[in-house]
Amino acid sequence: MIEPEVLNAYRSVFAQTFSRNGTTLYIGDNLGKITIYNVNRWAKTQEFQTQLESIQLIVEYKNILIAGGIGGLVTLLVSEDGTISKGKRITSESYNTALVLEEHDVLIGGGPRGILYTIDLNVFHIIKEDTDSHKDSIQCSSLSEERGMFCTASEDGTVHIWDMKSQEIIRTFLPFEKEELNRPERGRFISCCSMIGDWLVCGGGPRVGLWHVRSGELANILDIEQDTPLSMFSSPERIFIGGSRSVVYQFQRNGSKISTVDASSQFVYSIQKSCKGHMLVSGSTRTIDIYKNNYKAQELSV
Amino acid sequence: MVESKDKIRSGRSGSTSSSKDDKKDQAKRKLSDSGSTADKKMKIDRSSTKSEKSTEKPVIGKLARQKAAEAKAAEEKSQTKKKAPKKEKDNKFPKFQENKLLAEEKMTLEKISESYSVIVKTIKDHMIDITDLKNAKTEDTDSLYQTRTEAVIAISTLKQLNRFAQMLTKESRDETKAILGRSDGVNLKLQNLQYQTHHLKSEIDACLGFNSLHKEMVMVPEETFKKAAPQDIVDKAVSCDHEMVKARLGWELAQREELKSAVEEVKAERSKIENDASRVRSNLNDLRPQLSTMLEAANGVRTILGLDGTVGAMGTAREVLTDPLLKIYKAGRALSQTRSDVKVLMEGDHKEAIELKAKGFEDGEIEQEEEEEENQSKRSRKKSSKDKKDKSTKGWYPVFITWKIGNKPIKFKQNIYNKLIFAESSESSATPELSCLFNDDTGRQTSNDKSDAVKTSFGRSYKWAEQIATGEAPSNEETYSEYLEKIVEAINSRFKHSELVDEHVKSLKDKKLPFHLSELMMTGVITKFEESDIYESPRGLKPYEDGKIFKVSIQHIDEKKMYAYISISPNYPHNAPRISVFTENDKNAANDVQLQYIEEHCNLRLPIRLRAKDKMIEAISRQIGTLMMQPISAKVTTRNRFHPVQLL
Repeated sequence: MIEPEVLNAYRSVFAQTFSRNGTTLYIGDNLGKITIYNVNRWAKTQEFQTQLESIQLIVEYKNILIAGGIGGLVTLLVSEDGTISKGKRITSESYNTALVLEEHDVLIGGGPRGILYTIDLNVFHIIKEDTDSHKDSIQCSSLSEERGMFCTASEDGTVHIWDMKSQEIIRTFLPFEKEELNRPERGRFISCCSMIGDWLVCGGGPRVGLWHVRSGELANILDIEQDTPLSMFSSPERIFIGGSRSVVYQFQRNGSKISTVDASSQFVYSIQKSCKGHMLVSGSTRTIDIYKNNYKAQELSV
Repeated sequence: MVESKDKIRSGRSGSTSSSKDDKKDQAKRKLSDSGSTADKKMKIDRSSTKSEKSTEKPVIGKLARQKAAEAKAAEEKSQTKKKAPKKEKDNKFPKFQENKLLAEEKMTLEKISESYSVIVKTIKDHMIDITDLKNAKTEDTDSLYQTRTEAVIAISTLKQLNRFAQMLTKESRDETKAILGRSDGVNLKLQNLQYQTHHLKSEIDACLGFNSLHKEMVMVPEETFKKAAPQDIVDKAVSCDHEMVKARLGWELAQREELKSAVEEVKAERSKIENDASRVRSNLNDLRPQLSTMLEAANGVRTILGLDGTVGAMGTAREVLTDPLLKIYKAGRALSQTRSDVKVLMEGDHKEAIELKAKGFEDGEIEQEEEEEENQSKRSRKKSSKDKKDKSTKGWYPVFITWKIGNKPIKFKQNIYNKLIFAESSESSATPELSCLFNDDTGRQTSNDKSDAVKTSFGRSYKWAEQIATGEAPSNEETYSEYLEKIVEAINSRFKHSELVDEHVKSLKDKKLPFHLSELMMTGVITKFEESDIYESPRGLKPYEDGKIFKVSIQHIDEKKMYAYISISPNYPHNAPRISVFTENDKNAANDVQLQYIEEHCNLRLPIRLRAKDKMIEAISRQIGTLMMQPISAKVTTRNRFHPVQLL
């Protein structure tokens, strides 16, 4: 048995997801555990060890939870009280990111091999493998349901915008080719992206840029100085960016920085907002910071 | 074709001239044609009926109709008459059989080929003749008809040849098919034989390569076998090696069976003796309280008679030891009777111990007395304290117990202030050897200031030592004797692993990994491995309590340096060493993703995998090997850019 002290010292939280009704928070960490919190009381209700080595993503589909990461993609059955139990393994391929297109009953995701997989959620089988779109690890994806689009960002520096219906690429952004964004010393990789309506935020090696998807134009540069973005979250009013300096930056769409709040983790890997307006920030420690109106209200731990 | 050409020809001729000669020619031609084909016959017939009709056209009325009816009836009669002889003809000529014809003709493909060439040539010649005759516009129509008829006959012959050729081809095909069938059968048999050969060969190989279990058996040497085994068996075996092996195995089996029966006999005897011993022990145990009563009575008599002390070694122990130390002594004696590697000794000043006991040490009067003294003046307290220390060997009860496990002595002492039992094998209290023998049992649980004052001079107040002094097992899950056995095993294991740590450290100080890991592609070398007083971990990891701390310096192929603090647990290798990595430019596991991953791998994932494979002994080698194989990258910025590598 590994001592709890060691386990806690190296615990990182990569994924946070709220249930549809917003009452349950699922947290996935680098040890392959999912910790469940009741959002109303912020009380831990369950800690579940999955078959995965590390959890990078958690998505919800109907009454099941799909967790992915190093070691594959697994389903978990969700009971009425929000607790989970063991499901089955869909694939052993590692995944970094995935999103569910509920209308089409498919999951689209990718991982370190740079292959974008389409999985039929009725039978949990891979129905399509796209090996051409990205040439390197797929890092992040985001959905813009109201515009029927989603995006995928990759280590190769590309961000593809996809049509949800046809699942075809409708536009490709190459932020590293923009002089205003380019940081050659860091590379071309895109580490995170986020979509809201017609707007796309993405960054990584290049600076963080706000793009208008339809026109394909760069609207604003979101200045996080020399930091590297690791996670993003877009709401209609704000854009939140987590970096590698234990802070979370908040921007308006016009590019102006509203605030910079401190986080417990040096590297911020996940930012989520609850339906009650709480902002949850997690990263390279076992602590999850809960902010209300830019002030740290509480801390959770896995 | 001929007919159509004729028709055309006749049409043309009809259109060009209407002379009577031409009509005669046409009629003759029709007549000649009627002999060639039935169709032509019909045409001729039709033409004849037409001509009849044309001749009878002017006759109109009943008579004419009657005549026509009669003629029709006569025609029908003639037709029936014609049909009847046909049947007779059929009877005359047996049914035509192509095959027979072919056999009779003795046709071969070569013959057909030859005939074909001849016939074709003939046809060509006839055609040329016909063309010449036509071109010559001669009136010798007979020769033209003759030539044409011959040409048609030649064509019929050609057709016959074609038919023969087809039949011959069919025959050849059937023959080929039959031969092919036979050939397939033969092939199949051949394949079966080949398969059988292959199978037999593989069986032979398997037999030749059979790794018989007897090869792994340790048998009596051949010479001994020859001497010990009966002569007839040896004589039979000398003929070949195989017989020799068989004979030896047979002899071995017989010998072992004998031994087995002997062992069973001995076991039965042992069991019987054990039962007897158990019965005797039980009787002795029954005697114990009686003896105890007798001893007390005897001691009482000795006191009355003015004779000091009690009877026997246990009597002496009871006299000089406190109750906890006596229980430890008893436990040691019990262990020494069951284990050859355990010996127990009682050392110290017996006289002083008896004095201290007499003063009421066990009833807490000494402590009370001291507390009173502490309230007195400084001078008097100092004096009193000095006297006390002189008497109690600096805070310890004057008599102590030593368990000698193997070559290592473990001393058990009782503190006179807090009455706690302290134990240790190490000479120096700074380097305790028995710390964390069981979960987190560092022997530092007590917060008593007085014990802290004395613990620097000797040992720790370990829970297991205290438990031995109670004379009971810590839980109902095990008996006291089982608990004692467990402690001795744990101590033995600790001494063994301590030697292992020394070995590994020595190897690392020589800049070599204790285990050679050829499967890891290492890009760095150990430049220094030394003891360290400090251990810093930005991830908040603490060093093992009472463990050893080292600092390792690694230089990579790109001249970059990496350092790591290594804390080795007293329970090494059961607990994996804790690594804290940093680089010369102040990067560490808290501010660099890659170093975080390396540390996570070394401290968390690697031990899990090693434990699963029961290879914890390789832990430190693999941890340092991991540091030696990882390049230092300053560009790692996202969580996913550094993919986990399988290092084990």
